[in-house]
Amino acid sequence: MFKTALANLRAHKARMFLSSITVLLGVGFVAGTLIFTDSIRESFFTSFARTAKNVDAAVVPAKGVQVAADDRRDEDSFISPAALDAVRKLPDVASAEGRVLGPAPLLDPSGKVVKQSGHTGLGIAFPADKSLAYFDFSSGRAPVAANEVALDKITAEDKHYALGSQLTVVDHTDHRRAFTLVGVFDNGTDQTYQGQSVVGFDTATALDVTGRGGYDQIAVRAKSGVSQDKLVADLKDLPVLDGAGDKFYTGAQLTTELANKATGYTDSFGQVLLVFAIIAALVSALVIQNTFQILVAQRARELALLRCVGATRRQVFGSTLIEAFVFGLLASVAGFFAGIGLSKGLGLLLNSIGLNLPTDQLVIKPASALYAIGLGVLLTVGSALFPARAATRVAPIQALSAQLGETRVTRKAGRIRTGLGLVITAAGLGIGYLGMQNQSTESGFFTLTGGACVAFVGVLALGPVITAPIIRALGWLPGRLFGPTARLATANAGRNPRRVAATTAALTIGITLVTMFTVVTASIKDSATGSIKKHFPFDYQVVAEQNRAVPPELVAKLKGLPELSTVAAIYSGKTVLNGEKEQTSAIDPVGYHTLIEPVMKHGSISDVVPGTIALQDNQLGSLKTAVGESVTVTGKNGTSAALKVVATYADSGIGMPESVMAVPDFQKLVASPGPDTVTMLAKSDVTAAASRHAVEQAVGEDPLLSVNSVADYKKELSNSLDEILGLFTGMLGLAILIALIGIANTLSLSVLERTRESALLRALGLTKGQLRRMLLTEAMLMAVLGVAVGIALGGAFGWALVHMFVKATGGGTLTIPVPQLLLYVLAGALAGTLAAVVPARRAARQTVAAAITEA
Amino acid sequence: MSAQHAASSPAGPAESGGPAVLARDLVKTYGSGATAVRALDGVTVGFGRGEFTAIMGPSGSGKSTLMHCLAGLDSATAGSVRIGGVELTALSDKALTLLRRRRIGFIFQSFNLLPTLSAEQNILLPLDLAGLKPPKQWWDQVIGVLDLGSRLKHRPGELSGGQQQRVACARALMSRPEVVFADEPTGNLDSRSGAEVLAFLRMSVRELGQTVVMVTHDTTAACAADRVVFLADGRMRGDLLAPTVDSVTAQLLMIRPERVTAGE
Repeated sequence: MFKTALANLRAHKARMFLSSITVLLGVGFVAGTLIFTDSIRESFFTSFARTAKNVDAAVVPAKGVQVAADDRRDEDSFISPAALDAVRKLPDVASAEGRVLGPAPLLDPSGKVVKQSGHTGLGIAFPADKSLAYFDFSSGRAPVAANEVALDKITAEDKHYALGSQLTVVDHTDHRRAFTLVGVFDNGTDQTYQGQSVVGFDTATALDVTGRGGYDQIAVRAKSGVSQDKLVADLKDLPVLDGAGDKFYTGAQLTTELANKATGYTDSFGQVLLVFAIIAALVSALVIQNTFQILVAQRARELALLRCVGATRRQVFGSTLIEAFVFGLLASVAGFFAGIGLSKGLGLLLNSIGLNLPTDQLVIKPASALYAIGLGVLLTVGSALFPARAATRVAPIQALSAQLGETRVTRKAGRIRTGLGLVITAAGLGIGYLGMQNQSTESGFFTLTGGACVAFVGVLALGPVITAPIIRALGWLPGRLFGPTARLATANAGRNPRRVAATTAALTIGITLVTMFTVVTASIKDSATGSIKKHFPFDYQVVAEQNRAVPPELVAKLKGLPELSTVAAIYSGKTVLNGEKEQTSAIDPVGYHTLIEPVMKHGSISDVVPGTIALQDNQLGSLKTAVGESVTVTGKNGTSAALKVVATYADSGIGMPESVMAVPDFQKLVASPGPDTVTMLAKSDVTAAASRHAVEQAVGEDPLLSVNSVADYKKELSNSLDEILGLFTGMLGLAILIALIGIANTLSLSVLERTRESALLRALGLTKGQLRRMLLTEAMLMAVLGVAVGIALGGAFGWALVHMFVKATGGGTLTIPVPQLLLYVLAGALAGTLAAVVPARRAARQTVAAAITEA
Repeated sequence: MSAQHAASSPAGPAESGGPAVLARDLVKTYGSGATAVRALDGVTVGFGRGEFTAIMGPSGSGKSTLMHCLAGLDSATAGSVRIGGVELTALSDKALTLLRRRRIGFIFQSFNLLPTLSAEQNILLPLDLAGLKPPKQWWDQVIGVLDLGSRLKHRPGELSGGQQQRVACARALMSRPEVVFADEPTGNLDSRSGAEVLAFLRMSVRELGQTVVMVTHDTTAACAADRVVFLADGRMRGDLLAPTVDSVTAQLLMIRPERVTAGE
């Protein structure tokens, strides 16, 4: 039977070709994701591990090793310079260096601040002991004097700086300082800096410029013959380090720790990617299952002949499975190699939206090959199980009957299927309804998603039942417009509901998800702009760069502008409430009800006076407090205070931090350089141009401040949401492509089995063009069916999600972007039609006389 | 010899009205070079208006090829085919298709009907493709004669073999074609249903003046025709008027020995 299986595969090469592409793409996506994640993890690790080179022991503040600049931004725990001195005096220490990472915005020759993805530059310290340096120099040397700097290679090339150039860096007191460039180093793809410009100073200057109170890490090199463990023990004995909660690592432990960090960075989005890849793989499984089903139907005679000459049911079953196995293995291996190329594409896609992922390494682990190919084979063989069972049901007598089984119109779907489908759908809707009633957005989301998945399965089960009426309805208009060819196409599309349902289900999956994302992002967009208008109205904002403040003089100047009606400074930062880390903010009281009007659950925002605090209502539980009780704020430098909770407000999604306190309390308790934003309303009788001009005049040419209007803000929000939607659509694109190939595949197989029927139609007077048009219309109907059901399901799911969030947060609106969804239908119709071009042409080429006599 | 007679008198007995279908020196070659097969080797034959003609011949004699070429389903390698004065060999594929739609009716051995369409839709299909409707009276007459009134809404799968062939007959006649080509129309039927179909074809010729050309290898079926032409090895091998089972069998036997001797 093995030989029969192979012979079948060889004989049906053309028929298997399209299905093999779907497996190839599905497996390729999975393999690509695995390879991509491994590659990035490796790149991260290489760049992180560079910092552990030659390090025998390291001391870091209690927070542990922090590799990304973002992690450190709000930290104020350092290792004091005194501790470094003490470490250096230890007898086993060959050298010890303090590592510094802090803000150091670089100005370009025109005086503008250098920014990458919205971030200004960073400063680091180059140690005197060169063996403990982070980076290698591509030209020049490390800075050793207070007026010398080194610069990362990419920024240097980008801004055309050469050794000897004069550079300007803004220090933490906002003074511009001039330096001479003495070295250019290559920081490769180090995720720590996320593409930001990196300026290297000598250690003392680095502390001075960044304003850091100490070191992020002390890296220690041991004298020869001293073990790493001994060195760490020595360090732990130092009184100046002991008791401050510092953490100690041997060089080996540091490397492990960094490897874990690298894994942590890649795993979250690796998992998201994998979800999309698995969706694509499942869609291809649907297509393969359908293909095998059709092949078995077409081969009914052959199978019957096999049974006639003595093949047992088991042998027929086995032969079909072996065929699936060999086919799956071949396509999966090809898919794995396609995945190598696809991993590069993934990098390009993700980096195009500014994720800054390193893509310079290609790591192909045997495990990736094993998982991807294993999944492909498993899916293929699994998909062939039902068709193989169907193959065993072919009776030997069918070999002799003239009427071919496949040309019959299949019977209607069974009652069991209908009942089961209805029950599952109803159960899914019920679960979804429960989810929508949920007050907590998180558990509500999961319940709702679970319900949606169950309902989706139910609808898929109902597919063969609902397909025929929907096809008839969809075919009405083309039937009116294009006459008999369209009516024939409608009849053909509806003749085998099970096959059409299976074919279109693959498309429905992708379109459902895209529609859901479309509805949700459109709703977020509208809700956010609505929410700004209602809860955070502003005309202009002056925003300081990260870790900077809007200078007090400027705040005063803005408050004095006659063009503005209301001006308030906003402070924001992180603090600890009842032991939990929370975001907090404060706004000048003049802004209450004018510039900030949250959805209050209790009290009023203007109740917030010194000694009191307002909380997001969903924080009450996690902070174990209630309105009227006090929360303990653990502030900077060990200060602490008890603030009374006087008001609560809803989590409206954007704009509102977890807590709001009064400005004097904020200044006393939270580490912050000052207000980060000044928000203002223009007077109603002043033109927009005049007020904007006044604000811009007041701000002047400060490179570290930017002026935003509400329109800028909306545009930015809209752009970033579109980017996310684009990314999701791109990720689902492959699943949709596979589904379209599935349509082409089903149609070509249908055309093959309808050869005589097409010939009959041609004999009776259907022209070649009409035959082509008939097949194109049939494919179009299938595609539109898949898209329409997807839009209905995705739209319903999106509606439920938005509804739940609106209910739980008290803000936001549902937006169904009808034109965009209609565009999806049109695109689906077009894509379906395109998918059918090749099979339709092939069908039309067939000569009538040859086909009509073919048995 | 009757074979000679057929070659010299292509138009046949109904010469008066001019033939409905006329083939002259028809050659059809499959393949090329050494492997080329001449399926039709210079066939000249005419089919008179209102005449019921059967084409007979052993398997491989070229009778189906002849019918396909006459009906514009296949293109001849050389020679000419005229239907009602229109030269088929000069027509484009599209023009041929339109000619089939309007001027030719078909009845095949099996697989005559589209499984997705009801009997009524199948009958109307050629007219529907042309954007036409049959006159009510004609429709009623054809459906009545064929006794299909109660079966119109059924799909082919719900009809017996005889009923399916009757639907095919109705379709073939509905557009009042120049000629109806029937390819082994009784081949898949039991003798009773077969006799019904033949009787109907005869009646359509007698009473409606329809021209019918039928390919068959069934002697009984051939005897239902007014005339039988014989084909062997792609050539005309005889022409019988008012055939009987005996005369047809005798003629077939005359053709056969050659093949048998060739085989031995």
